[in-house]
Amino acid sequence: MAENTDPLEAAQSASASERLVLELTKHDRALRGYLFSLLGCQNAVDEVLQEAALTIWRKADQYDPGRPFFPWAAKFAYFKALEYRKQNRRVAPQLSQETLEQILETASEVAVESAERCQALRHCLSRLANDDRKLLSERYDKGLQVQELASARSRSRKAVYNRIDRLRLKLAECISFRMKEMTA
Amino acid sequence: MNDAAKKRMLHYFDGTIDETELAKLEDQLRNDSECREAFLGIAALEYQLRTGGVQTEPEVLDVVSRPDPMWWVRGAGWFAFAASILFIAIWFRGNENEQGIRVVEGESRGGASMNAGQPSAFAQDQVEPLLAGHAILSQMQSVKWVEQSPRYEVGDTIQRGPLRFLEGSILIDFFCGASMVVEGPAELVVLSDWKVELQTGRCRVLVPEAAQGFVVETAESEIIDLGTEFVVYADEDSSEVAVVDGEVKVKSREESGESRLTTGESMLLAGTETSIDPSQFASKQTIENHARADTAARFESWKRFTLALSVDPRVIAHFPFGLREIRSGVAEQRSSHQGSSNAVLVGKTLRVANRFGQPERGIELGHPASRVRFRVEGEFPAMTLSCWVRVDALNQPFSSLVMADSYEPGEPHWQLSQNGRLMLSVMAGSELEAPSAEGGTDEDWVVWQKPWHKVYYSPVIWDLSKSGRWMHVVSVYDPPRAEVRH
Repeated sequence: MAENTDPLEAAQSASASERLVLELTKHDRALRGYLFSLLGCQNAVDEVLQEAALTIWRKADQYDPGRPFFPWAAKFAYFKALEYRKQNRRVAPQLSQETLEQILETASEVAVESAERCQALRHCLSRLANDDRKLLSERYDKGLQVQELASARSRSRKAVYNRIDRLRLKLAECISFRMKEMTA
Repeated sequence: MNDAAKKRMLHYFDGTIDETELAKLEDQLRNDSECREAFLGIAALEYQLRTGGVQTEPEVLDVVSRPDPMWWVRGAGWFAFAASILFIAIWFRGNENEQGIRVVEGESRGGASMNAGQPSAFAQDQVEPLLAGHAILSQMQSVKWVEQSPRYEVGDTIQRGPLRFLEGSILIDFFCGASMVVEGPAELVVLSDWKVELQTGRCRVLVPEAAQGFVVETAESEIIDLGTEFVVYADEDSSEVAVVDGEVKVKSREESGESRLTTGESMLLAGTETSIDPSQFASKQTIENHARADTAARFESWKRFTLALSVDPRVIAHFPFGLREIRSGVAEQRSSHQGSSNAVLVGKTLRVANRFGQPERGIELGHPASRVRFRVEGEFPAMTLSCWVRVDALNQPFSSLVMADSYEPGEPHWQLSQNGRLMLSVMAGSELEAPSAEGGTDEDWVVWQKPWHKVYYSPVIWDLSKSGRWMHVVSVYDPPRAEVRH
């Protein structure tokens, strides 16, 4: 009755149809990241990925294991994301479908290794100053508003917003550099 | 690509981008593949940050929130369950052949006629349960136990006796209120709620006012707390104590008299060469932060596993409560099986933290009428029932995990008995007399019975020492293989 061992390991011995589950699991984070680029909302990502996963499962017989899984799966995710956008129009401006199509092409070409990306984020976070990590943690983990963060620090809202922007850019740059190092 | 372009991407995901900036972003994305690559990178980063990515870095985290200890599972009838995750993999109905079924890690009982009255044997269990032990293992980080040592897990009650581990750290909360962080390699002996012997290792002891008088023994001395925080180092040749805050009394085992140490003072208890620096000792905060980071990683792993389950065609009903906050009285059913419905939360069903400490992602069923009701249609040759459940007390003869509306042929009842055993009971589908149970007797337990009904018990999996601890429970009913497994 102990906690399960790693589900990925358990799936190693899976049959052909179950290999698809393994692939889905392996590329879960990458698909989520990609869907987020299309939808910009994590709740929508959950919903659309669920739909996409079902479609992927139903189309399992069309999957060629000799070819990369992500580009194949990303197409289904893309179409499900378009459907979602039609049904749930955001108030905020959205990118055009033509642009999203180009993003799909790029996503399919770029090998997004999500496990490495997580490692890279961990590494890059560890290189930030404690105060900066605390700021990000309060913004993202605790969900505090920029105004609340600003009041607690006796800073202007704009100053805190700019700081968060700079930290995110720093992290993005660090992750990109780190991933190049890891794949070199 | 300049920072302005990247900021546009951030503001796009923040939802704060205006039409002019969006047009610029769109233009860049259309014409520059490097820009699209950066856009995907920033999307992945933003998604990671929004879904707990910052928590992967322990330094920024606060103290772990503790689950509410006053939680229990109860309830009977229909489909009632109490779990952070529950999925039923396969349900069976009809033509099972029960002859010769064997039970793995348990026993079966059955064949008796229905006992309509109150089962008299329950009276034998009406003894107040006592919790044996002196402390709780509250946190643990990368611990490698010595082979001969008891192997505790987080949430376990620590009994009187030795604890030995080669590496890692543990946090022990004594029942008197004192807390102790021990770093390996360490050997210690828990002697009572108030006393521990440190043979080798490093420890930091925090004693609140209510636990004043807590004692740490070393080979040579007895350190008696007078309301404080202190650290102790001990190896085969030497030992030393240093007070971080407050005051301790040190009594030598061999010499009469005693010494008192206050904040900032230290004392060599044995040997000649040690010199300890309290700031180098692990703190409660350190170990709790690590535990939180581990929890975040486990949550991610569970999430991936859950997604895989949702598309697994063998799963016929799947309720991953922990995936997101439960916002209404409905629990989403996530399997692809056509005959399964969403579940409705009925009665007093409180939304509580799940096993990863995330609020509003678990369901507390604290009233006999509380239940989560759902529908599954179909006939299946075998079934697996699985859920994460936290039990604080078993106050009723039977506490339901999953119950069918009725108890017609082929329908299962999955419960915990008051003595902490899993019970999977199944109504056989024919008038064949159910085979009598192998092993075990009915002396200590009576279950209401129908003529062809069978009960398959697990060994005892829960007692008071596991109160408040999440458990993963699974039962497999597999007539084709003539096997029941818990």
